[in-house]
Amino acid sequence: MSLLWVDKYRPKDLSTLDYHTQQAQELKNLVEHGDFPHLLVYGPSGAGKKTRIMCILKELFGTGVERLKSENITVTTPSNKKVEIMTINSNYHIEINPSDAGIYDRVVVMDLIKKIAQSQQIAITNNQREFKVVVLTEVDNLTKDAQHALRRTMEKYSRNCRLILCATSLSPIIPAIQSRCLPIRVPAPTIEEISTIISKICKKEDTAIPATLIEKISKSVNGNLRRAILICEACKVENNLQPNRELPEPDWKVFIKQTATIITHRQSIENIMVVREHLYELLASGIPPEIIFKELITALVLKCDKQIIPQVLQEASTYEYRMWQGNKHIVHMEAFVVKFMCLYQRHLKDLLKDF
Amino acid sequence: MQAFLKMGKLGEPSASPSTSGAPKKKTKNLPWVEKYRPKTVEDVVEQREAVSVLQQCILGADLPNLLFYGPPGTGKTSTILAAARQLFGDLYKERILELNASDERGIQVIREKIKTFSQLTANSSRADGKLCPALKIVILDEADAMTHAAQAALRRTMEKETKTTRFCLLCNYVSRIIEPLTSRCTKFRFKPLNQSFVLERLQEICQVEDVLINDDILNVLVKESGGDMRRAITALQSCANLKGKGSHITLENVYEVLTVVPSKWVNSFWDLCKKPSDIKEIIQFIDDLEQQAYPIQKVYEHLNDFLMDSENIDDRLKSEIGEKLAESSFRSSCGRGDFTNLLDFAVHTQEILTEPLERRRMQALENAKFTTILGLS
Amino acid sequence: MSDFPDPDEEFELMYGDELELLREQDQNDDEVISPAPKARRSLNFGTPTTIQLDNSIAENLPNSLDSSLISQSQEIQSTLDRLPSKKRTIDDLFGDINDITQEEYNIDEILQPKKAKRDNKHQQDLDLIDLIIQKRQEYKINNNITATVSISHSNNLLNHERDKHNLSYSLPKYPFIKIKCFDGEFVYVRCHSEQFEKEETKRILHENTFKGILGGSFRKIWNEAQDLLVKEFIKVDQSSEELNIISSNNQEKQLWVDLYKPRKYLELLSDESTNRVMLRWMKLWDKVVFNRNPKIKITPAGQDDKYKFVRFNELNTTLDKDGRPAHKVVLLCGPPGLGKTTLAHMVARHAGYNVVEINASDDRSTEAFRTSLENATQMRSVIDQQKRPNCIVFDEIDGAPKTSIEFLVKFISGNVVVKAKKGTKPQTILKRPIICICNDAYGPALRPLRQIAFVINFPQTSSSRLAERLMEIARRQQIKTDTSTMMLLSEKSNNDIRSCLSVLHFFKAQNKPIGLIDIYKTNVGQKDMQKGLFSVWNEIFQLQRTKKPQGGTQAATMKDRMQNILNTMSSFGDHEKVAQGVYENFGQPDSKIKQDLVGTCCALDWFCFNDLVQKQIYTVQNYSLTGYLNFAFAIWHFAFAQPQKVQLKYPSASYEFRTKQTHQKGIVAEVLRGMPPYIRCYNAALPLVLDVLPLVLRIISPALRPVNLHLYTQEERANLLEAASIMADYNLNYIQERRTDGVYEFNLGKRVF
Repeated sequence: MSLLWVDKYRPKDLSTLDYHTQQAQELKNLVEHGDFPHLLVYGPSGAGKKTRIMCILKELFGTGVERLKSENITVTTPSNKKVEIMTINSNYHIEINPSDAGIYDRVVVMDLIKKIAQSQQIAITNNQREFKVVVLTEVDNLTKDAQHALRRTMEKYSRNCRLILCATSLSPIIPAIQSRCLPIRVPAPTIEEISTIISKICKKEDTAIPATLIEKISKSVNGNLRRAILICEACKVENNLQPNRELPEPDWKVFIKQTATIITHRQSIENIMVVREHLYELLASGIPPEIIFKELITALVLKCDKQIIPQVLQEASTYEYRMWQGNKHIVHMEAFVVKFMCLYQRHLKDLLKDF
Repeated sequence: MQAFLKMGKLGEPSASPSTSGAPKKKTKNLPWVEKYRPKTVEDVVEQREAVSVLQQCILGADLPNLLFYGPPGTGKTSTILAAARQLFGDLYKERILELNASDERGIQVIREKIKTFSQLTANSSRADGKLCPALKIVILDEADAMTHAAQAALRRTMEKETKTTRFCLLCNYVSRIIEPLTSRCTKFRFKPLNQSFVLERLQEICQVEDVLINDDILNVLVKESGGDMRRAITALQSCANLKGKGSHITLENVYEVLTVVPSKWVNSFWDLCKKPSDIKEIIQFIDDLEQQAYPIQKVYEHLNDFLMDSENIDDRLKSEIGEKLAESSFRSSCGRGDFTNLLDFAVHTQEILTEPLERRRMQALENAKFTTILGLS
Repeated sequence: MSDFPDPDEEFELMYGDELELLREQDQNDDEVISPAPKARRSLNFGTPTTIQLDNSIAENLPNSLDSSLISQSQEIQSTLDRLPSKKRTIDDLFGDINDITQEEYNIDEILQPKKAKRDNKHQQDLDLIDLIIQKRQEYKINNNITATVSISHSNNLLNHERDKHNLSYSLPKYPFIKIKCFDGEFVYVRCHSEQFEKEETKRILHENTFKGILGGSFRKIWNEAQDLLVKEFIKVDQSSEELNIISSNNQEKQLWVDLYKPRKYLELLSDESTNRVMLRWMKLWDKVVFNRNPKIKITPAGQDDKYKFVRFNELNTTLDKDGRPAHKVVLLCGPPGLGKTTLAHMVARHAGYNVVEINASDDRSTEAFRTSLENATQMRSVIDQQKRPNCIVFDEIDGAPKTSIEFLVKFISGNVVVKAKKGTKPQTILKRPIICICNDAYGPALRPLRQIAFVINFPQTSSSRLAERLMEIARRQQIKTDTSTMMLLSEKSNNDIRSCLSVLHFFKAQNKPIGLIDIYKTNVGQKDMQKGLFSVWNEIFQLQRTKKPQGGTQAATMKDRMQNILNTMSSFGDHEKVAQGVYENFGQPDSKIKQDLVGTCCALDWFCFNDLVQKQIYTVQNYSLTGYLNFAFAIWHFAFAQPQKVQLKYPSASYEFRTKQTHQKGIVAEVLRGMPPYIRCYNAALPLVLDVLPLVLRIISPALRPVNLHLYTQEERANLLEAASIMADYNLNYIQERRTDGVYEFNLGKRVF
């Protein structure tokens, strides 16, 4: 079957992983040792967390974990509301994203894990483990409530249930959970590592791709291997493998850059309204606010004078902090934009005065 | 999921590690934290106050309501469990109701579960004829995660059932327990453990478990775990597991397991802040740092250490940087603005260190003026 | 002999007057258009003999002549004298009225001969209103003085000697008209010949000039009396003592609100044009209810009214095929205490209906609603001997449950199949007018009703009119006060007559004169006024001007403005809605709201603040913080307010945003759901949106030649196949869609950014 390159050339075993091989070896040791702790796998997007988790599972249970099924399960909240959650499971593990349930994530975490943990495999042959694995993704999106609930559940059912938590950042995870798991850091691959992987894939695909282009791609993706491979494939499909070609960029990134241009171009109320439209559009498409903020700040800071950068950043961090404290993200973003406009305009006026 | 579940169901959920009938084989797989939990109150390291009170109780004194608070891994749960085991012996299971954050602990539970439990009468002798207090103990672990309403519901129950029931509240932050509850309990603060005690304990474990580790690396481990015994033991076990039998634990292993940020990153970040570097450079560096996925809070902690240790910075400037650091650190911990906050910190530190003080004062004044204009319009 | 005109009749008078104007405009109706040839008859004997002979169904009582020659009233014995079996038709009522109104019209023309011919309807309306107001004043003068000086005689010119000659309780010898008095006795009034009348009129006029009570005209005396009252209200003058007609024990039992409820059309205090629109709408029902043609010019159904410019509050006079007006229901809305209910009742009674009122005190579940609706529209009251048709008044409809209102709407549009015992009964249509009354027309429950109803916005009563009325009541109650005090009271209470009366009642109990100071001291009208959303927004965006004590206006001080906004907000309550409205309105280019970057920056800071506080309130349930929300509104007011009128929109952007967001989320979830598990386990929503989908869309669109499939090269085939399988993996598919211009195009089923 033909797939996206990302999926086609995904390593399936710990031993075939392309980078962090030392870590892979250690994980192998861990699995062999028999006493398998809870894991907390963290690292930036596109660094290969999921790939590693699947490899670990395969190492634990053998090829059986590759017989995957999708299933929707419903959980009933105390207020009798039914929440449907998508799961992927094999005979040995189940994968859930509890933050799908929104504010009911606590119920999902408690009920589901209890249910799974209380069911035990009957026949434990030598090859099999006496526990099952629950993979929880996007743990950093869990509410504090759910994390607290998770904390004890982990201990209580540790005999026949192991958790593998997957997160992009450790900061939102409460220390109690961090201390109960073995943290596995998955840093993004370096530029060289990405280049090697891409050229390896290209060789397998019989695609001649110039080394300069590979390097260009590797540098542009900020360590996101998934994006790198996708870009590479897109280039190939477009039949344009010139080293100096423009790399395809996700639309939302382009859109944020446009927004930044609008902001610096002219500071007026009409422009605020245009920016508001843009922000609404971005948020509605599901781009997380922190990413919008980050991209916007990067674009703006590069455009403005060194003199006002400290103040701009001071305001940015204030508004972003407030955004997380508040409810309506759009208001805080817009407030920052307008504040920036004010600062920028004042600075321009000061400059003009000097002449 | 159904297929996943139908592998078979056992009514019996996981048993407590102390269950007498637990097969020997299982103990091998017990986490070391459980395995080396103190069995008696006397085994508890440090925490002299609480230990002495509990020893008195075991010898027959009246047991007060207890409130243990302190940082994690200082032996709060261990202490009360050990005491209970000593007090009740085999009756241990039926005399204790342990509730923690994972259980439903709303008002409803307080009203029903705890009430019914506390209303049961307890016999004053054990099955084997030994005397034991006619008491039951309700252990509320992680009590600071209880809602205020639930805590309020508890206070009357606590008073009414003093004859038969004692409460033991365990928490990290005593300030999150409402005043009426704290006043009804005898409070014990559990201090972070002294590093020498932890080291001693770890060395014991290393010997028993055949772990190969150099003393200086073990020292690092103890230091980085910051007086949290559980953390230290877990880290040791994890390292041992990662390495497998027969190979030495490396410093990197310890760092990984304890999520320590290598000083090389913090060093270069600090260097970047010190000299007037280009904004692009800083952004690139922060991007790289984020890709390493180090916990940002740890970075801030390290930066703080760096700040304190650097001798060539004027104290006044240090305080300014420190203030900014505190702000950024706090904001990072509250949201997801790691990038912005780090960038903000970097740029500001750079400004503080490179720009003359007078000029910054002037600018601050001007900015303040601008802000007031905003406010007045 | 009666001096009080019957309300019904009085209305007909006014109404007919208007009809005349309309008719005159109507060129086809030459019968009415030429009033000139008719001999001008003296007004005090308005009824021609022909009508009298004509079975004398309705008779006009010559009212006493006022010096201004305006006939006040006429009495129609509308019910008792009529044959009971006969259906009440409008012709016999109007036949005579028309004459009179016509005459009045003539008089009007005579009085104002220079008045230009009215060529447009609007002008006519205004004139008519002027006329009515003028008459109302005269009526009032008359009513106040004449009605009170003597009960039986409305005019002092009517002396006893004349009475002896012209009136009799027994059957007289001279030609007469039979009149029924209030007390049920019959009075026989002599009919004189025209010749006699002329002489008599002359004589009376002659007398009038020389012989008033105090030797002056009534108007003059009245003015003097008024002056006296105003200047020295401490001294009770003689006339006001006489004014106390209503016995005191009667007063004790009744609330003043009921006691002084307007009983006649002319006593209505509400805005004249509103009253008239209401009346005209009511009259439109005549065709279907009374089976007579309304006297209003009817726009024939089916006439192309595309070009008709419909003004606000203007009645659409089209009738539908059943002869019903275009709007089956009127929605009267306005703040409390302006007299909406009174108007509805008055108008309905005038138009000859029996009022069935359903208000908040009644059960308003859908079932109860249905019963009362059906009862009222399909049956007729047995008890009511007059056999008047019903008119339903739904008071306080904004409080009714939504389902009930939906039912009402269905009922009005005729979509309700009445549960009939024999299943073949045809669908019933609504044949009775319905009046709905509410305070806030923009309540969400009223939305369906608002669309089909003829919405009449009830304007504020003018303070001066209210004050006049209050003066009159004060006089009757022997409260000593003056006009300026009453002016203040009415202004202070926001022209809420109910609260004014309560205050008066309160002062009456203290039994001392009321001065300006007393009013200042009382805290009337400081009640929590629930304003509409738009008025709150307006208050924020528009500078209010306050009245200077010396008269004229000035810009409000900062302190007052802030206080005003704070008050408004704390009584309004729904901070989030208002804040959202401010947020979405302030920068709109066509809103004419003040635009200023620095101010906007500051204002947005306060939006952030509000957001934080609100989140705190909702998560911790700490409602004590609510008070701090109000300050933001004051800041926004300072930042955005300006004197011009602003155009506001209802905030919808945030709602649209949320819908869009949910939609987008749904799409991503759908994509995920459709993926085969071996792909899905490596994918999550976020990376999918950020990285995978934008790039996959490029990957699955390989450059293919637009030729037939079998002409593809091997390589192209492979590419196509690959793209298809990737799409299958990621659960994407193209959907053929037809554009509006008829061209088919393929769209990717899921629009992902």
